[in-house]
Amino acid sequence: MVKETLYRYKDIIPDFDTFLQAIKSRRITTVRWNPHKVARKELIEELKECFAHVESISWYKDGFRLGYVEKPGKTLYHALGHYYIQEESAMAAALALAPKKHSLVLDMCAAPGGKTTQLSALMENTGTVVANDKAIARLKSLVANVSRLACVNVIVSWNDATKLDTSERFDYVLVDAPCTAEGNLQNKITLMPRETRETLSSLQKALLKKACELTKPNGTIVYCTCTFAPEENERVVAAILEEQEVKIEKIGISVPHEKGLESFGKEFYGEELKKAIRIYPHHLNSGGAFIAKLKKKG
Amino acid sequence: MQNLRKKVEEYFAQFGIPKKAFKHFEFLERGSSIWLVSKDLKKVEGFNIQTFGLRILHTTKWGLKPTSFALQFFAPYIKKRICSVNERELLDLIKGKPLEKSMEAGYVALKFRGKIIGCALSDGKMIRSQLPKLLMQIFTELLETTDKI
Ligand SMILES: C[S@@+](CC[C@H](N)C(=O)[O-])C[C@H]1O[C@@H](n2cnc3c(N)ncnc32)[C@H](O)[C@@H]1O
Repeated sequence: MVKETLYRYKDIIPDFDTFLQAIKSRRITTVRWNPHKVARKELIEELKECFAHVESISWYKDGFRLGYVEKPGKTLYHALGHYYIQEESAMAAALALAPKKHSLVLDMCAAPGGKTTQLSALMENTGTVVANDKAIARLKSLVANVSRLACVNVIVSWNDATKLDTSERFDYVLVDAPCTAEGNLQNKITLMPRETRETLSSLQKALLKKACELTKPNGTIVYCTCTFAPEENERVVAAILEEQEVKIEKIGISVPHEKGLESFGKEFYGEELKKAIRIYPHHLNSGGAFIAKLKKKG
Repeated sequence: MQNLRKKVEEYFAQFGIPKKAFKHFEFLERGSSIWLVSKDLKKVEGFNIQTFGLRILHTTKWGLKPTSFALQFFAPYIKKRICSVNERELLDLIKGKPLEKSMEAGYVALKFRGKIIGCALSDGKMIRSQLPKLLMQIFTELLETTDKI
């Protein structure tokens, strides 16, 4: 088996050296305010009491950079659910989905609940977020986080999302797909085997296809991963654009990013895919992310 | 539904929590648990549902018992049945050691460093922790490893 490295992305990642450097460097700790448990102003005071550096994230005021912190979870305020520790790059997907208050939302792959609790916060604890996951072991941490953060608008469910059989149709669906997580490779440049990528690519496509089926006409779907591999990102979205009644939309958030890819090697995905975004570790000194926003036709 | 609201409101009144604290929420009773949910929560079909919103009460053979997360959530309204503990006392409680404190018997809200952190039980003379395993674990780690709590 040939071991591939991050160098397979040399031609698609601008500032490749900076990118490699960022992969290897230590990441800044970021946390997100939980409005269900504390006022924002009060949280800032609490964070300042516990950490030397507290700075609101420029593109997302409810996220905070704490600098390099060893144990950001070891505070009373974390135990009380006043904040959630979340990578800065992972804060973008829920914002891209932007669910309105009182809507019906499905988070297909939800554990341990980073994005679920953020969606709940964006909806101000109204409406419904169905937070689903297939892995029973991971549901425990999902339920723990939903309880700690007091998300009263969240229903936790245990299903294989590709096999969901329901007559419910959702206003918003988030597919935070299982992936090779290359955005979290720290200090490693060797990637998962190609076979793993291909297997995941099929699963991701099945998940996104189901998401399209479960979305109401004119509803919104966000597909995201924390990997760089175009096979798990643009390829999946391009295939769905071809076969489902959905179109891709621009993502209106100001997070630093690169555009999605039109092509990779011999694969052509289409110009439309430039509307997707790719967040690289050097953009935020955080993990990596791919996000595409789709609209179901009316 | 109205009966359930009344039951919840009356129960939490002993902590001084006013009815208005519940006005933006709805309740669901499933088995021995009562859940606090959003007003417009949709009871979706076709899902293998594990939890609804926040579990706030459950029925034991001695009657209703509040969850620690419920007391945390309604902390700003809690005025009565508060038991303040210091670091040492909290660690003892977590380790299963009852605390000598005379308070009216029944469930009480544990307060630590000015914050309501969860539930304990008083028999009139002694207080015993009713914190769930998850919170006990979190507080043990916190008390044993950091001074910034
Ligand atoms: C990237 S993680 C989700 C992270 C989560 N959204 C968060 O923000 O905290 C992917 C999740 O997909 C779940 N998963 C994998 N296959 C699935 C399937 N067929 N149906 C539902 N969930 C699945 C995994 O158990 C894992 O928890």
